[in-house]
Amino acid sequence: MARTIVTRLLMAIPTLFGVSIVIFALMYILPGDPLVALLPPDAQPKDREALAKQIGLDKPAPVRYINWLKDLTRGDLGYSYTRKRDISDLIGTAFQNTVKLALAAAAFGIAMGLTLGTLAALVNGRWLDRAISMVAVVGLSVPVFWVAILLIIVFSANLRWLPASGMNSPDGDFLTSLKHMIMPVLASSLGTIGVTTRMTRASLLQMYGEDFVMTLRAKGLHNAQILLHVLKNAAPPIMTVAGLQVGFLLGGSVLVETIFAWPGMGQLIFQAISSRDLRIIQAAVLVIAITFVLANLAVDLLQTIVNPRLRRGV
Amino acid sequence: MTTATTNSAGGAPGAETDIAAHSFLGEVVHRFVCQKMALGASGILIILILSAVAAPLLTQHDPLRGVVSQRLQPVGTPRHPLGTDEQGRDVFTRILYGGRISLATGIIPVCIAAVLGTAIGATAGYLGGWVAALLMRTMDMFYAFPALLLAIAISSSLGPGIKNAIIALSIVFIAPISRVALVATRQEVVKEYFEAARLSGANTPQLIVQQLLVNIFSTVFVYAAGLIGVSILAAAGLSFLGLGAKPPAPEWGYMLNALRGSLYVQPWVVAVPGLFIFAAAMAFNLLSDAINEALDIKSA
Repeated sequence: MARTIVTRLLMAIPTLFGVSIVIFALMYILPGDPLVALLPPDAQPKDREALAKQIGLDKPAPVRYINWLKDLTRGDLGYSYTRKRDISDLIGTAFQNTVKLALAAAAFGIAMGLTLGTLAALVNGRWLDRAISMVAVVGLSVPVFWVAILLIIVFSANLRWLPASGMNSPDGDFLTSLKHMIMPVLASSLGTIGVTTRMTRASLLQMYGEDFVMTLRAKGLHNAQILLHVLKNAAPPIMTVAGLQVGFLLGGSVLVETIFAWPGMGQLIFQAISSRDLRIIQAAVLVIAITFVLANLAVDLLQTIVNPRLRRGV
Repeated sequence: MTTATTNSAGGAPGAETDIAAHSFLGEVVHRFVCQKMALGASGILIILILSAVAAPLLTQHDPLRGVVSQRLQPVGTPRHPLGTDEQGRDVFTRILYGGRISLATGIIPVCIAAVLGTAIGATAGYLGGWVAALLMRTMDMFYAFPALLLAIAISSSLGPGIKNAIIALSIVFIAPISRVALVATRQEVVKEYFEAARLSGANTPQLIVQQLLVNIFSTVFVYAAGLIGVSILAAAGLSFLGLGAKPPAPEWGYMLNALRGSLYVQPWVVAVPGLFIFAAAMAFNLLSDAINEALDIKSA
């Protein structure tokens, strides 16, 4: 098993290199001029050249890529001229807040999805199954930023139960934090609920059709006992899909964070889009993509440990 | 062949009488129209598309010009059934015209990606070897990003605008479609009919067009159809963030963001554009589910 784990870890390295290449290409090779946002509107070509030299943009692309990678390994993501701060400082706190939101949304979404999916599979074909399947499609089709606004309209503007924006006041207690989290978590988790419900329902139904279920019935097991066996066997694909969701929520939180003014990566990206600060966007995307790759790797490893059949290799 | 398996499995007496020749397409269409959901979804889509196309016939207002004295009228105002926005423009008119941009930015990227992704996946699957390794490893690089985030990164590098949003979303969808096309191609090229065509002297272009593309089409089509809902949501999301349609263009995602500031003044007017994004995405998702179900004759 140790060998499989090491192989998986090694396989993540080329993926991470791929991520860095894509980001680098987006930063410096696409037609947009990365210097535009950094220079005053009346800048002379001379100023532009001086700045290009200062940042190292006058060197050929491969050299710049290597230099950029070296900076990255030191945790240096560059300097934001619009925010006048090191980008790694900006991202540090924002990343923690995004992870907090994404994990809460993933936990809630996956739990809901597993419950609804199992329920739908148990009552397969009846009205409750159809209703749950409908809920799942709604979850997949609904724009999160719209749901966020509807939640604010109902729970903040009309009922005044929950705060419409922010994370917590500095002196806030646990209950206040929780209140700030409810709407962002609800809005972000809808897609996860949809995906997990559909996957759980489909895998369970497939497993119920297998021969071993008939054997279990013949042995006289209760429905609940059979469900346990079925769940255990249907777990791998559900785990893969659910695991992917953690990563997707990290990236998908941009819209929800923007609306609820949640001080995370999403809001950072939104502000950077408004001020045309490409460096912050690229750095934020890079950090989330690396986390995404590592999260998927973690799910992969977890699968290997839980499911012995996967251990023999790829 | 399907009927034969049904008989042996079901073993229903007298089932032979049911055996009648159906064309594959006829059977699929029949199975499609038998689903109420499919018909409902198709109906919604036809209405949305027609009303976007016929927008000038359905409203007399100008989508770009507002009357300042009539800002933020509520839903249900005479002459403004869906209210007016923060600049006094008729929301209903902007929704109609906005459908042109919003539906196009949702559908076009999937079409572009379907063509390019199929080309890449089929080439990789047909040729194999180092070409396949090169193509698919390149595609893998894009897999490491959550879809919306990659679209944000690309379109922010290219600069805001509908064209750039479409390019960004197309790039995002090429990787998953190429993988589906690759798997489908690998399954087809080892089948006997393909070998037979090759042995009977078909050259490479003939093999690819007449044998391969025809046979992987439905797999790619079903998968791509499922992406349109995702694409509509992502396109609206990009516009919402200021990366898609530029003001004052009517676009559902951008409208939602522009109206957001009036949340406490006219909440239900703010909710209108989102309802249309939702309806379009939902209709496409239900439609793709229905097509998938209708094509899946074997499991019936």
